[in-house]
Amino acid sequence: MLKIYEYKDISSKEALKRALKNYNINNIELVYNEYGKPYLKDNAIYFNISHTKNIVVVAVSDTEVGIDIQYKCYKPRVKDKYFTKSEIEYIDNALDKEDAFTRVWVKKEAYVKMLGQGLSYGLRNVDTNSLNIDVQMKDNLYMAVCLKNS
Amino acid sequence: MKDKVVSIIAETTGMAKEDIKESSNLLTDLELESLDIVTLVAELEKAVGKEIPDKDIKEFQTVQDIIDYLEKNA
Repeated sequence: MLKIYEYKDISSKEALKRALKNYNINNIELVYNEYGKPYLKDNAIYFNISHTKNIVVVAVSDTEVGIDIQYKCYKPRVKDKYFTKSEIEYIDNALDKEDAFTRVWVKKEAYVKMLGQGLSYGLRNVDTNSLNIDVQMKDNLYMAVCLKNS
Repeated sequence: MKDKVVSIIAETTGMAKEDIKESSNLLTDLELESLDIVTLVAELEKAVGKEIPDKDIKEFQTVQDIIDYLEKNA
């Protein structure tokens, strides 16, 4: 079970509240792992939130989930520091470097968020070329969702 | 160090320096996203000439946390 809820112009907190209402969860009590990833207390439903500009997305699943959204961009210094050799080659050889960079970034982020460690995991330890994660793009907004065992 | 950190945050995010306080929380006050934070870290490394390990990034909750970290480690 995976559902993605998208909202505009509301806070992440409000977005989570609205998404979880679909599961009859009205009183949200959160607990956090050592890296700060939030979980519902005493509930087997997993969620993850991502926001950029005025868009917030909430992924809800029955297994660990990570989601990331990002508008198309290119940050060469981030590429050089955080991406693997094969990811750098993929971007450097791409005709549209912004597209390639953003695809790698959202996959990387969705994966480490699924793991529950976020940036602490070490972004260079993730080679997105070996991960089976789809990236959706609409109006220059890229989105990747990663479920456990992706 | 404070001026340097505030300048780099302003340059990286496009925010006005006056809006960046030592007490500002990176996520809730400055509304930085993960990509903003790693971009900021990469720029800070360039400015201070020292690598900031990924595992240390979670210590950066506020602007003051960054200043303290760099004063201790740079």
